[in-house]
Amino acid sequence: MALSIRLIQLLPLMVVTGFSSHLRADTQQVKIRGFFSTGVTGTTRSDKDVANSIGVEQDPANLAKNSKYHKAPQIEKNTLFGLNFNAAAGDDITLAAQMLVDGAASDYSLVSLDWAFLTYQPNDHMALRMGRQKTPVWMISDIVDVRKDQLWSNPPVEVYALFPVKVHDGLGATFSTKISGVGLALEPFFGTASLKREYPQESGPSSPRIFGSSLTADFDWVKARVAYTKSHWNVGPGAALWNERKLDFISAGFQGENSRVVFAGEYTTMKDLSKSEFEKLTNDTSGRIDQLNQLSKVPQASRAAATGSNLSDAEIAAALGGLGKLEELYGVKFDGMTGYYGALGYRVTDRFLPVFTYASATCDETQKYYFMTHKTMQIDLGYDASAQTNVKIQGRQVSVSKNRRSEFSINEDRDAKVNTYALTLNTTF
Amino acid sequence: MKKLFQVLLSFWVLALPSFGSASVDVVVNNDSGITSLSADVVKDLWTANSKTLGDAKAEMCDQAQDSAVRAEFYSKATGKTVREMLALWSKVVFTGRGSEPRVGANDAAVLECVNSSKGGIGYLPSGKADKSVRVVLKLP
Repeated sequence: MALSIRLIQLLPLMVVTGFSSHLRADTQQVKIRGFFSTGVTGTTRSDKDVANSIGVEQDPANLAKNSKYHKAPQIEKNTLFGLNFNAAAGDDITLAAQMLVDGAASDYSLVSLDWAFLTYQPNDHMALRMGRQKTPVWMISDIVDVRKDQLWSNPPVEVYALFPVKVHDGLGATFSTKISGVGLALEPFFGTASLKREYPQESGPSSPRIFGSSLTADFDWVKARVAYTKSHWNVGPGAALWNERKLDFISAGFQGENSRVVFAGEYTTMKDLSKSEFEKLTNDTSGRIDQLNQLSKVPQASRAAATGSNLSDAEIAAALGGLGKLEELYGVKFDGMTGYYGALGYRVTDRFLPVFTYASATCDETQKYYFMTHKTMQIDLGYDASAQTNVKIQGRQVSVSKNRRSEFSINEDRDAKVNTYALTLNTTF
Repeated sequence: MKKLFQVLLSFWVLALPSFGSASVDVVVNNDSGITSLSADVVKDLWTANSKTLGDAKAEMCDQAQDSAVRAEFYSKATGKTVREMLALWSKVVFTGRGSEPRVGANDAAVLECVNSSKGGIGYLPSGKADKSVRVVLKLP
């Protein structure tokens, strides 16, 4: 198994180097396209208020450096350059790759291979892909984080930051057909997720093994998609938060566009199928907390006679306190995390597209610190200067709940509102 | 008054062609063996849902981006505007799922493009096709 995983990780390199030498000069033509985005981002929040990122403890100073939103306008963090290569090797095989230069990435991953894969498509109903490819878990999986000229310059984090798997090294396929005029596409995938963009530091979680499938229904100008992903994470012993996790991830979305109206929405939720470290640690005293809670309800004077327990109130309180602390530290599960958004835009003339988006992310009440709970209202105004170039202005207000840590936290003791803005020029060539 | 009416009438008559929409002919390579195509097949090709034409890989040929016939063809064949189609192909290209149609600067260039491969397919203003290609669909 270890060998096969290693092979899967090597596939992108094999795709780029090995197969490129087999492109037939008489039939192929390498087509190069690209995109470029730049502009400023900023926030009303002081850099000192940056508390924590999602799920991973970090030095606030380091986080402030890595955060996309600073008090002072940031240009580098909002600059992105992509080069896209597409070549055919015969009628059925194509090779595609995309390189990124991303100002928001950490220094040593400034230039990255976004994806590179080989496609074998013997007919219009089946395509098999091998290599690094976009994982089709969302409606906008293909463009999230890279195509700022699309609906938003920055998509809602409430959905698209919840499950940080966007690219995987491995296999993917598309099986498509039409039933009563409705196009259906089933896209299973399998491989190892690449998290370099999300967790460039060593402290991040390991690359999880994933497999799943999406199903897309295409009603011409409206599309709907559902996806189910199973993932297996393993950071190794000592990392209490992650260690070994089996997470299931469900997403469902829709998107529609005609000459005037644009709308989109997506819902996601995550299910943690593994035991928390606390559950593992207390496995031999299963139900101990419930048992202690029951005992505490019985007056100490009659406790021995009623329950057979000689524990005093003080001893029960101490035991509960100790277990509570242990649960707080090691009881983290990724359960009950959900996110959704709805977006509606209306084209004013052929050039202006204002879009209003409402997004919300919540997590289970038992999750005290690690996951975002906030609501966002955001307005994007796009102006198409030409068919290839547009300008986007984005204003966003994030309402962060107290006792939660997220990318937009200010102070964990109180609710807070954080405003962010972005002005972005996007062009494709 | 009569003169004014005549002037207005002549302007209206001159303006008539711009009110109506021009028809478009879809053409394929003579070697393709295809004699007719349905509108659905053409739509699937131009919306990236299909890549084959007959037994060959389809090589779609577009007209210049700002040409009237391109807008007309997109509207009639796909129900989409030029901007929507550019966005659609942009997604296809930047996800590695395909490459967009070749572009001919004028009718002659489109004819040349269609003739360059067995799976060549393009479109021309009605009546502009010559014998080097075959008209397989008329979009009125």
